[in-house]
Amino acid sequence: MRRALLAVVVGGLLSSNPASAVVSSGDPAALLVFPLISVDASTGTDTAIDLTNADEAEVGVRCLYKNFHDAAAPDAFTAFQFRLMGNQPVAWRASAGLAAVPGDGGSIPPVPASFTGVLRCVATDAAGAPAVRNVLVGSATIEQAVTTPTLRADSARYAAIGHDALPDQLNGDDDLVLGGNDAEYAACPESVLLQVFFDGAVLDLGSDATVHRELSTSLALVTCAQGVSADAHSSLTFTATNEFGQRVTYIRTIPEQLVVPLSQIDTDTPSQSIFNVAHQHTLAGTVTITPQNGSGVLAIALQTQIDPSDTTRRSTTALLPQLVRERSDADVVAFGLPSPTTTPSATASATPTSTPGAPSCVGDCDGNGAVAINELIAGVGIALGNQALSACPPFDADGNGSIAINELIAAVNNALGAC
Amino acid sequence: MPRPPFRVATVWLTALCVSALVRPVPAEVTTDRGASILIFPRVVADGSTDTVIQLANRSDNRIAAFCAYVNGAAASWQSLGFTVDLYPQRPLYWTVARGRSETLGEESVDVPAAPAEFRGELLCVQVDASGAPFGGNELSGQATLTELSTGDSSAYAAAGLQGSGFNDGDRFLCIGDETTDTCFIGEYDPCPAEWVLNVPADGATDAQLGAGSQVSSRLAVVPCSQNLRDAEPGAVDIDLAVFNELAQRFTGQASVSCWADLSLADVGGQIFTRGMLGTDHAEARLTPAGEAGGFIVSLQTTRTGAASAVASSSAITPHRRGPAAVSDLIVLP
Repeated sequence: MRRALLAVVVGGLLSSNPASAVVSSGDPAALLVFPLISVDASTGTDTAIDLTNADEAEVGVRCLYKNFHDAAAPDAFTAFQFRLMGNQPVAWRASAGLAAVPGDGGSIPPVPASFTGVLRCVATDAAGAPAVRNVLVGSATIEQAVTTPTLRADSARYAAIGHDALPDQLNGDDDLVLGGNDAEYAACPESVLLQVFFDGAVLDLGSDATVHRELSTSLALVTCAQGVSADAHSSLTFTATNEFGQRVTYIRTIPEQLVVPLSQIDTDTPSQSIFNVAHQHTLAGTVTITPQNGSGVLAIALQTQIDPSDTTRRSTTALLPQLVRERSDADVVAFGLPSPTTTPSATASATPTSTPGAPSCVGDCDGNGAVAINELIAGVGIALGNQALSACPPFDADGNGSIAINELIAAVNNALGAC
Repeated sequence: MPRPPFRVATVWLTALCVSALVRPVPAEVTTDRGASILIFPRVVADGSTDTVIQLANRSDNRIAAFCAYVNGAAASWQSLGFTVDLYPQRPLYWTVARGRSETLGEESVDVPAAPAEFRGELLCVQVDASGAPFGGNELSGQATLTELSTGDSSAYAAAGLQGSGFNDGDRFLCIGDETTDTCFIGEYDPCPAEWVLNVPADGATDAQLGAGSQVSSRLAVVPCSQNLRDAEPGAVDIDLAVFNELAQRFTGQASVSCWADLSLADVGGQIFTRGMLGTDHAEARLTPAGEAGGFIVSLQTTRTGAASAVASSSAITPHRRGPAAVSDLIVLP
């Protein structure tokens, strides 16, 4: 008994950090990063994107595509914003955008015809300022369809990587600080670890091992920091570990986004790469990517299985990395291009769970320009957790998804005076 | 001089309270951090599909994992257990149809094949050198399924449950913090309170493949509670809330015993279908019904061309939110 109790005490004291803001591909978050969005009509490639508000109350969303296919082009950035009602999902294809987000939530523009880039989306308040709303989830599916010589399709889906916003830390500007002393959002990882098959590995599948598939992997690497006037960069150490436990490393500096075959990270001759199976002598391994200088980094791996007897038959899967610890350095995501000029307002027509737009009068639940005693009672109920925020969204003046004492006081003042 | 019993009790009670206060709020299932239990909800080796499992030891220590194939397709619930050694920072792979028996340097790998016509779950639990469960949080894993005749493949990350910092090393794995007759304190993080799925409406036309094409999805579900020792499968009832792109809500229920690979077209009174939803995309919330325990899922979506001329699949471990209120229990053999 004493041993068990001691284990409880020691275990409790030694266990991992208290639950805090994290970067993760599994939980709703305030800032989503899609490391690879690809559109190329010549190869039949497009990206289907979905994004959902996992909260009962509506949320604003500001997004920014950055195109690295031609980063010098005037349309390198594509900014847009929209609103999502409580529990509302939205889906669009990058090539087409979405003319109207259901519920009068705004619109989503298409990307340029040739696009290889990154998408970042941040939760905002009704005025378009970043808000502490860890409510967004999203994923992207890179799809391909070709008709010649025969119809073929390919799909690889990954979850967006989400950064939690830190309570009471957002300063409302367009430079989003990830980690560090002035963190507004959860930090990027110290390293990312990918479980891969080395390029050129051939897997024998089926109970009789008669089905063979050759494997090749591409990495989409994106810096955690995003520049507007000048691009971010990162100096990375790539460490490959094979099944014997042998390790080799290579250091390379990358721009804000790099999409590269695994065996061309270190050389233009894949067969000579340290990431090629010919060098590693085992089929599988891990690749750990650690920033040394510059920005932190996020990544996804696109692993393609190829039929050696018919190399047009191929199928791709997307794999997210393991995230190792947290960076102590800050990364800044510049989100300020262009400044929002319009704020579409959501309407309540589509669903009983939808909510009206920006609160013009804190505490004015019914929008009649005054705050009544029953509305104050509702606000107190929400603050105490006895009612959902959707019962009276106008109490949430800062759009952070909860009601604080200052918002209750503002409502009382409005009740005593005029809105 | 012996200490008065009441004083000892007071000290222990105080320590226990302090421990409870400093114990972190439980996290949930993870797919991107090291864990002590890995659950692969969809593993298939049935002659038409094979699955490649990749495990990695994220630590600088030699560790081991007790794994079990849990057959969801068999008439009676069956599991096949085995132990794999994982050397520091090393990965390991095998194919489920054949297993792997090989010598890597001076070390051997001996992973059995799954039983014939296998469709089910793979469970892996980190154990110490004596085989006792251990919450080291040093495991990560992923699975890739390949359809053998077409080569169509999809991959997903294993759902991981992290150790809480306390583990008594017995065969009863206490998941979540609820105190029960068996569990004094949680040894592993709880299963999720809610899964959040972004899914195309079942039967919607695929924009890229055009007229006559359609999108469909399947959901593999494994109850978190399972008794491998006595071959007693877990069972869960699931509440479903599906929201279309107008945020309109549709509800239904599903029940799973042992393991299920559900076609979303057939779940909850067709609430996932394009015809019911009226939009091409949906969000779904899956929660344990009533006092039901937690569960783990994996979502696979397939785009099929007109007249089934082509098919392409992708998989994902969906998002989740919050810790389940009810604890779960895994009993190892």
